[in-house]
Parts: sequence; structure tokens; C-alpha cells
Amino acid sequence: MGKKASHKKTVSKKTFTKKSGILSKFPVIHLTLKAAILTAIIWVVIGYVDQKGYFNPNQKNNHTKTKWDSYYSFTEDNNVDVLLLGNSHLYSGINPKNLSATLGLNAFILASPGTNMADTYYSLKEALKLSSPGLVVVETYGINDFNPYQLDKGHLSDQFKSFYARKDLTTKITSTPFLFSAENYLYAWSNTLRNHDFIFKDSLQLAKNKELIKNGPVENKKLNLGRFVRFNTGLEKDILKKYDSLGAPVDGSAYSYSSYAAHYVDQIVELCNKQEIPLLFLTLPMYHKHVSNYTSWKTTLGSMLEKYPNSWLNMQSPFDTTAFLPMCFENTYKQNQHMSYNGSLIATYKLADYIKNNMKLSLINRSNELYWKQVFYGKEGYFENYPVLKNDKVNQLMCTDFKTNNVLLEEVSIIKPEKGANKIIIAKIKKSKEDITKCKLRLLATFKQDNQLKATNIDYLQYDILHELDEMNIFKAMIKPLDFQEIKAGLLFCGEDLDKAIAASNKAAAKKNNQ
Amino acid sequence: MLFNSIDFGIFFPIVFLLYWVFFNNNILLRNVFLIAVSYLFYGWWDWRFLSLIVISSLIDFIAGNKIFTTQKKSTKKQWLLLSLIINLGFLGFFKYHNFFIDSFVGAFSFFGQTFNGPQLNIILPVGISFYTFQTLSYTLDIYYNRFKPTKNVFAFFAFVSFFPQLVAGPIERAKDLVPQFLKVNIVNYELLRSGLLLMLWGFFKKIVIADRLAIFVDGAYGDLAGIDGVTSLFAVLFFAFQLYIDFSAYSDIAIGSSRLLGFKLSSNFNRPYLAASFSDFWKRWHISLSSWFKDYVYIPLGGNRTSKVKFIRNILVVFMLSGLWHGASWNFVFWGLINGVFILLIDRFLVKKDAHIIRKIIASLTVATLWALSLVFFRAETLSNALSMYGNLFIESKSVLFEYGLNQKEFYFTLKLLVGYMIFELILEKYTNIFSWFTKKNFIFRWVLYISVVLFIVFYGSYGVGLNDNNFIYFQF
Repeated sequence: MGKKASHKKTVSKKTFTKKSGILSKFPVIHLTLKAAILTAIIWVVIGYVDQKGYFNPNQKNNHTKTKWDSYYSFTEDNNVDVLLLGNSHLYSGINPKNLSATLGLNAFILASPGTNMADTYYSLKEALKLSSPGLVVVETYGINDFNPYQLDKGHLSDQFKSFYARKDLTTKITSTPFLFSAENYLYAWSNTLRNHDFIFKDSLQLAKNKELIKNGPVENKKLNLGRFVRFNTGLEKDILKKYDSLGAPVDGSAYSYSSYAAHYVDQIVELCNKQEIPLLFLTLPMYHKHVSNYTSWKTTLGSMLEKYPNSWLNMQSPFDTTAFLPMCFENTYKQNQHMSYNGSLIATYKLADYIKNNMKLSLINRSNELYWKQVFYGKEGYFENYPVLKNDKVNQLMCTDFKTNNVLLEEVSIIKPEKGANKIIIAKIKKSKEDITKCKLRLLATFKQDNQLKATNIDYLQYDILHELDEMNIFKAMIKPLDFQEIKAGLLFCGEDLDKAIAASNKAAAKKNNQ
Repeated sequence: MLFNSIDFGIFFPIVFLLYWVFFNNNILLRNVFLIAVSYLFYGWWDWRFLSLIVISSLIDFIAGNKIFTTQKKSTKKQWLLLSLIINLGFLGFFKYHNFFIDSFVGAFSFFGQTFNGPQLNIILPVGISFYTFQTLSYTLDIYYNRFKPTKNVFAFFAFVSFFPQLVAGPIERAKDLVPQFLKVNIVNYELLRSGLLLMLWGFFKKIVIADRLAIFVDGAYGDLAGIDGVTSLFAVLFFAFQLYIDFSAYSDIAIGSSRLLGFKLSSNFNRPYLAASFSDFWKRWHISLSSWFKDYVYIPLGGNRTSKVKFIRNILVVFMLSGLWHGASWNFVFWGLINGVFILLIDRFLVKKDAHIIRKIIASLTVATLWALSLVFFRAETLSNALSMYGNLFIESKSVLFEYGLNQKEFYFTLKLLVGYMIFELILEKYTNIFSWFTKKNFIFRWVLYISVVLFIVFYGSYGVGLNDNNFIYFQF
């Protein structure tokens, strides 16, 4: 035994010496091999840490990642029919669920904050690998954004997040040199290298990431079509006063765009042409007092866009002051003003209206597809466009085609909105020549309380300017959580003597109650 | 091209492989290749200034040969003068033109006169002070019969432009470096490995320590009106460490990358912060420049073998010139003169060779502290800023220490790094052959250390988006 072992030892030693001898004859190869092995080990470690996500940026702020994750999961079972691309102005200014419901199809917003046209182009390229949209909408704010090679740290951070969020390896590899300068390639590809200073500067995020890795990601089952709500209140008095005292913070005559932006707009148009997808340029508005010399801005931007046959829906000009009220905008005097939630709804319905009535497109209508209904039923904007199902246990269809007093109620429903705790009553009245947008609607409804049937007036349903449909006027009000049974009557108060009419009606109702 | 850039990370491995695989065995091809890649390396920054290197190389090559072959002393002198005028002329124009004009204007206005000198918008070519001194040493050595010129023009051009040391030294003497371009380098694994490890050590020093110190120092010097005494004190101390670690890191990478190409460069630092006197310090600090001034200015002026007055003059002249070499401003002149004064006045109170260890430590701390204080002139952009910084040292604390780029956690981490670094220097001072000890350790030990060092750089290095402009400090000279 001992001899055998000894023999083995000698053999292995000889082999080792021999190997070492071979390499020692080629010191350059020897060293290169070792350096390559060391480099490989380091990259494996970095790759492992990257894949684990220890240095991932804050997921809450990185909604671009959430959007791309949702896009990938949504397109597993659905086609995106209208794809919208742009930056923060887009995801603040358009509501994809309302757009989907209004058009009866699937609309998705793939927008990331602070993005530029190069990033938009590569996002579109990747997105088209998963879906075949019938329309691509590109919001134009990104056009006057920066040359991608000259980004400062803040904007680079957004671009990194957008790059990190994308998943298609080929598109990512081929786009890297066009999105980043060479010194930033590694940061684009590795969160570990980019965010290694979390160790000193953001230990809280590091701890959160560790927790996330330990517990696994939280599965988000909600339908996410790329909307990111940020501004719920509109412009307030202090800012409105500033417009009058200080003037507009944005000077339209200073508007410009880089040759890079022009190049990538060209690329986007070419890509859409190649795939025969109609393309619409969209400009969402800022508050009209926020921008001075807009004509100059419009001329500069227009000189680029007019090269293309594609339509341009410009909501900034001419600015519809009756539609885009102060409530439609982020309460800020800083240059970059976004739309508020309310503003986004108005813009969404204007966009939907433009697509339906001005663009000669043959977009698919999925509103009769069962699967589509399952996906969108009860989501934002659905009940404004479609009726509540009779067997719905959460939402209630109160009546349809009910002629009462001076109004024909096409449909009245009580719904539990996707967001918010309070129930809402929606009444739809068919559009006629008469303008009823300034009217108010009173409904008389019965409800059950302590096993007794009682009646109450629902005062008042206001005309809903946020959901402007083609054929219907919508009146809405938030209501108390009562067990409503039936709509008994309705009355529309209109005109200049609105207050008098309401007072008279109240008086009559009181008299009736007393009797 | 910066050593600490992706560009160099791609450039150097390609050069290394091409060099050994295709070029090393043929001296002519090898030198042409080295000239080409060196010019590429330099031109990456600004290709227009390559012309200066080419002209300088050509003049000195011709002048060197003419000085050597001419028998007539006056002709020798004329060729030497031509070399000096061209080289110092370039340096004077690109580096000192505006400084001298400013100084003249200042002097005239002091006497109530007005003089409007032509201010030019001149870009300082990177490394001009380094390669000018290197080529000057070539013609001077030939003139003083210390060295025979080479007739191989490619070897000479490669000597002037050798990329690892082109932009920030070490300033090599022709007698040490030119012969290396005249022979085929023998591939030696130990030399290659030591080169790679030295580069790794250089990158560690630069990325983990020096660049982190730079954040704090830049922040503090950028807010002279806002900093308090404690912050100023740390800014002064940190800059002393930053300058040393940054420059020695550059030298390590330069020497390491040269070794990887089979060349040996001279050492530039020898643990200067352990020096127990200023004369000892200058034998350990930027050795290639100190020895240049010693050989070509101090000794020709008479050195210390002359009268006391002349000795004082010699010291002050050398240090003033050394200051001016660093930068075209009065700050650097003051900085140089202060260090000359330290040698003349302080050294006599410091220790002799056989002193007790405690006295040695006190002496080292004295040297390091005074040196750090003198560097305020080096770092501050103007004389008034330097005086503000000195004044700030006496401002009571405003608790702003952690507001200058390093939060509390990172600040203490930096302090620990500096303590660890100095302990390592002490170990090196005692055990100079630590590298050969390390290379004899077993495979696992060595590889664990290699991987740990690189991962330490990855996770604890001061780099990232917006921190890409981490130039080496001595690039500006």
C-alpha cells in the first residue's frame, strides 16, 4: 500500500513539474492566462452580485423597470395595439387604461423619465420584437433633450435605469455605443459597478435589496400599462400669481434640438415605415401661461416634424384654455411642468378622439372580446365606456334607457373605482344638439336601511369633463355607502337660472316629504 | 489616455500581446511599434501636441550626435544651446508665457506703470515638463561626456516617447533607458509578474485611496469660506497623502507596465513620509526629478562644497526652480522656497542616523507635518487662497467635517485606510524584500490575495458615474 501511494505521489509531482515547465517556456502566455483567469473570476463575482441584485437601484423610483417587466408579462398573452413612447411628460400626461377602454384595445406606455430620442428609438426597437402595434405614438418632449453623449450625472442615472430595465440582449448590446460614451459602458451593464458606493452612501437601499433577495420579489398582479401617477393636485394660487408677476418660466424661443435627436427621430420614422406601423407625434401641453413665445417653439419643432408625412397632434398649440384648466397641471413654476392626473384624463380623451376621428386607421376593436373584457373590466375608464355587468357583485347597474322628467338616462351605475375608497354614481346621457355640459343632474333613488325601503335625492351629479366620450355625456358624483336599490327619477338642471330651478325643486321635494 | 480609464484597459493588453508576439525579436520593428503606440497613447489626449515631441526628439537626436562628433568646444556648446533653447523654449512658451507676462504686468503696476502684455489662450501639453527634462538630460550627459549618443533614431524616439513614463515620469536618464531600446528584451516571467502586481498595487492606491481623498480635498479647497479648523486640518493632511499616493500610484503603474514590456524604470518614491529629515525626504520623494535637479543644477552651481552663502543660494535656487517646474505660478515658487528653507533651517534640529527611535518618530512627524503645511501653496489656486487656508486652521469647529463629499462612514473608512497604508509602509521599510516573500507563498494564499485586492477595488474603489475625470495630479505638470 505504502509503495503504491509513494509511486502515485511521484507521478503526480512529475506531471505537475512537466506542466509548470511547459508554461515556464512561454512566460507571456503563462502570465496572460493567469491574468485572464483572474479577470474571469472577478467578472463572475460581479455578474453574480449583479444577478442577485444587491446594488440594484431603488425599485420604487425605478418605475421604468416595472414598466418593462409589465410589458414583457402583458405581451405574453396580449398584443399591444397602441404603443406610446416618450419621457415623464407622457407617463404623467396620458392614461393608458382610459385610452385602452375608449378605443377598445390594448394601449401601453413605455416611457422613462428624462429619456431622449436615442433611448426612445432602442426602446421601440425592443418593444416591436414582442408586439405588433397598429399605432405608435411618440411624445415630442424628448426631442429637445440632450445629446446622449453629453449627459450629466442626473440624466445619466435615468438613462442607466432605462437601459437596465430593458431585457433584450441583442438590442442592448447593439445600442450601448449609441447611448453611452465608452467610460460608461460598464456602468450601463452592471448595477454593482455603478452603485457600489451604496456601501457608504445608501446602506438603507443595500439593506432593502438584501431583504428583497432573501424574501423574493413581491409579485404584482395589478394591470400595469405604464402609467405612473405623480401629481394629483393642480396649479394653485401661489404659482398662478407667479405667472402674472414673473412671467412664464419657459421661453419657447430658446427651444432647440440636437442633431442626435433629429437623427433618432429619423430612425424612429424609418423603423415604423419599415414595419408599416402608423406613427403619430404627440405634444402634451404645459399650462399656457407657463410658456412664452410658443410660436417660436412650434416653428422649430415643426420644421423637423414637417419633413415626415406623419400626423402631429399638438395639444400645446392652439392651447384649449377651456379644457386645460389650472387643475390639469403639476403645481410648479420650474421649467419641466407635467400634467396632473386630471389633466392626463382630458389629454387621453382628446388623443383617443383624434385617433378615432382624424386618423384613418383600421385599429382592432377588442371591446367585444371576452378575454379583453376580463382584462379591463373594472379598470380605470372602463365603466365610463362600457356598462356594468348584471351579475357584478361589486358594481351595480341601476337602470338603463330610463326616461324621466327632462332627461333620458341611458345608463346609471354605482361603481367602486379602481383607486379610492368611495363609491361613485355614473349616469350616461346620450349627446344631443343641446349643450348640457353646464347642467347638473339630480337623481331620486331608493335604498334599504334596517330592512326598510327609503328614498333619497342624490345631489348633484356633475358633468364629468375628464371623460369626454363621443356619444355620451357623463354625470358623476361620489355617494354615501348606502344599499341602493333603484333609481326612481331624475331631473336635469340647466341654464342661467340653474340656482333658482334647484331651489324650486328642493322646495317641491321638501313639500312632498312633509306630506 | 489615462491609466485609470477603460481606454487604457483595452489599449494595454493589446499592446502587450502584439509586442511580445510580433515585435520584440526585431529591434527596429519593436521600436517603431513602441513609437506608434506611444504616439497613439499621447495623441488620445491631443494629437496636435505630438508635433512638439517629434520636434524635440529630432533636435535632440541631431544635437546629441553633433555634440559628440564635433571636436570644437564652441560648436559643442552651440549645439547644446540649440537643444536647450528649443526644449526650454517650448516649455517656456506653453507653460510659462502667461505667468511671466502676468508677473511683468504685476511688477510694472507695483511701480505705478501700466504694461499690457499679450495674454495667450494656451493649452498646456500634457507631460511637457517630464519629457523636456528627459531629453535635456540626454544632450547634457553627452556634453559632459557621461554618455555616448545613439545612432539609432528609432531607439531615441522610443526613448523620448515611451508611453508608460511619457506624461508623468519617472524622468529617466538616457544612460539607463536608451540602452534598453538597443537590445532585444529577454522574456522573464518574474519580471512580467512583478510588473503586473505593481500595476495592480498602483490601481489600488489610486482608485481606493487617492481618489477618495481627492473628493474631500477638492470639496474643502472649493469652499474656503465655509470650512472650519478641523475640516481645514484634515484637508491639509489628506492632500499630503493624496499627492503622495496619487503620484506614487502613477509611478507604480508606469514602472509596472514598463516591466510588462521588458523595460526597467527607476524608482520614484521610497517611503518619503518615514524620512527623519528634509534632506532625507528629498532623497525619497520624486527621486527622478530631485536627482535631475541635483545633477544638472545643484552640483554645477557648486553644491555644498562651496561657501555657506553660495550653498544657501544653491539650495534656494534649486528649490525655487523645482517649484517653478511644477507649475507656472507664485504658489509653486513659494512652495519650493519654503522647502528649501526647511532644509536650511529645520534639518539641523532633526535627528542624526543613530538617534533613538522615539526621536526618529518625532522627527518624521515633524517633517511630514511641515511638508503637509507647505503643500497648501501647492494645492491652493492662488496665494490668497493659500493664506485663507492657513487662516481657516484656526477657525473653531462648525461641525461641517462630513459635508465635503465623504460622509461619516466613508470618512472613518478613509482614515482607517491611511493608517493601514502607513503601517504597510513601515513593514516595507523593515522588510524590503516582502515581494519575494510573497511570491514564495503557496498558490492559494497568493490567489486569495489577488482576488481580494481586485474585489476590494471593485467594491470600495472611489469611481463611478460623474467621477470619470480622476486625472493623476502630476498630469498637470
